[in-house]
Amino acid sequence: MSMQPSDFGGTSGRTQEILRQSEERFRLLVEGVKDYAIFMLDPYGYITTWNEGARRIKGYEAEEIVGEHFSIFYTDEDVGRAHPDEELRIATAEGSYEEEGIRVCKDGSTFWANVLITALRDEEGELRGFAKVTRDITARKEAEERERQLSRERAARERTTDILESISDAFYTVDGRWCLTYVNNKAEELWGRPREELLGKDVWEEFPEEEGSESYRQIRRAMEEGVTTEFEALSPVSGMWVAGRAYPSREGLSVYFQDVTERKRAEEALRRVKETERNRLARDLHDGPLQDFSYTAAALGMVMLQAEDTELEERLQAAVDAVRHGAQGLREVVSDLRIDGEEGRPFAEMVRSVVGRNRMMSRNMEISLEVGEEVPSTPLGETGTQVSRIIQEALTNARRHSRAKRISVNLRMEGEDLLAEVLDDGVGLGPDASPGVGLDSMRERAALIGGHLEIESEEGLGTGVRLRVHLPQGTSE
Amino acid sequence: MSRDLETKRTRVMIVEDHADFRELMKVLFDRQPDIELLAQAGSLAEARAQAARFELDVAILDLGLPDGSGADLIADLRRASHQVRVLVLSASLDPAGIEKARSAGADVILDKLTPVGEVLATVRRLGNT
Repeated sequence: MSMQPSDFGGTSGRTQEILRQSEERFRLLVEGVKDYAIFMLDPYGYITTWNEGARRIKGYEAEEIVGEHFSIFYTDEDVGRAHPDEELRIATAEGSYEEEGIRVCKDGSTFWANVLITALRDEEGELRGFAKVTRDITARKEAEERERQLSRERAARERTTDILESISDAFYTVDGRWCLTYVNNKAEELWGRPREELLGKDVWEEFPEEEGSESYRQIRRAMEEGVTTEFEALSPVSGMWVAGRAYPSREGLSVYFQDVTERKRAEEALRRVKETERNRLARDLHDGPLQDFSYTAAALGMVMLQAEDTELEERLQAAVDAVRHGAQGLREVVSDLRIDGEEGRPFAEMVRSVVGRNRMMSRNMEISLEVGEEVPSTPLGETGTQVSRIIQEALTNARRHSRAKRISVNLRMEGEDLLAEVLDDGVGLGPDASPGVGLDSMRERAALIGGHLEIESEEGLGTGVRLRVHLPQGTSE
Repeated sequence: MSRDLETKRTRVMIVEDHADFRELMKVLFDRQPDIELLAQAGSLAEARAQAARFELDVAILDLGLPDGSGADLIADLRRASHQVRVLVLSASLDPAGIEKARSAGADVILDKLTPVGEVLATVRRLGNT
């Protein structure tokens, strides 16, 4: 019945001695194994032996652990689902059970364990207990986990790269010292330069023509202020219109941009059509209805000469006044519509004439104009026209809606930036300003010339329209 | 007064492309014994032809004519007769156009909406100086 080899009957004393020595060597061998926890459980799971490996791996001394139930090595979660009992049940039924799982040490720390539980039976097949061999495989598990993490990251990077290579936006990244760290296909295409030539190089040294451009300034600002910036500008490198955004990143900056030349051309064509249309409208109103009003006023005036000192005279005077008032309104519309063929005029003169016209139209408002010394007196082409238009629209708004007494128009240079301001002391736009007061139009015009428009208005405190536009050297010629 | 009339009526040309307005001025001037409307023109070309035929005291010019600005006519008129005085009647507020007329030598520039009485008085004043 007994498992003890010494109980085997009929064996000589010498044989017994050999067996005893062998058993002792085996016990010492097991006890001395350091890398494996090898111990035994009784049929109910209580620990009956302990070895050096178990002590090292789990932290318990033999005295304190022998007699404890082996579920002490399991997490609360495993114990909760009766996993230790399940292991013994399987080992009993199938002879052994093996798994890899988390086990708990004496100090509460956990480790990854490879566990093999073998059922021990006597000759009669009676279950006498279990042998349990546990190996700490944390290092291997961590290495596997690291490898999985790395390959997940690699896959994510590859996916990101695939995306970045397939998008129709040009994309590049720079580090904190402006060195290019990534350049996608589209960027290579738009720049006409292969990435091998560019990676690791200072982006501004590779594209020195960009310096001072609107995109250059916005991209610098993104890095310096750590904010996302947008730009839409004519690229001195490619000669195309580009629109994009610069995003600060941990490494430096990510920059996306697109070739928007086609859209810009379409916008420009549309703008020219609109401008032509405005001029035609102005001319038609001037040559048609306005002349008829002048004629009607004169005709009524003549009839009045015949009706002097009669009751009719008074009525006619009212009619003449109405016609004059109508004509005056029409003139203002014509004047607002028309900046005819002025692109070639010196810039300051254009603005003076805009201010002059507005003075004529609103004699009870004082409109002052100050032009800083450094403001170019040469024609500014498209920029000049749009700045004049914006000033015109701001003045029209002020005249019609502000009830201001004084309006001041100021032009000055700040470095290479032209600043144009129209300030009034009127009632302000207030919360229910009509959307039709030309604000969108002013913003569109500002965008067209890469300028920045700010409108400040507080109810009762007047309105300020401020435009800032970069005048790159050479545009004033 | 009547003796003055015989010796000196103010000779006027009106250059205006709005036919009704021109006609109205003709009716107005025809009623003035001291003013004689000698010539009418609806364009720069017509005005140049008329100016060559008549000795004029006062030319009344519209600025916006189909073949150009009335301001372009001023030098031609002066060349044809030194003493001619020029009154511009402008319907537009464009300071550039007005400045152009002034620098071309217009004597008086009036808004087209000016009462007719004032226009008449201005023509008389220009004719007598």
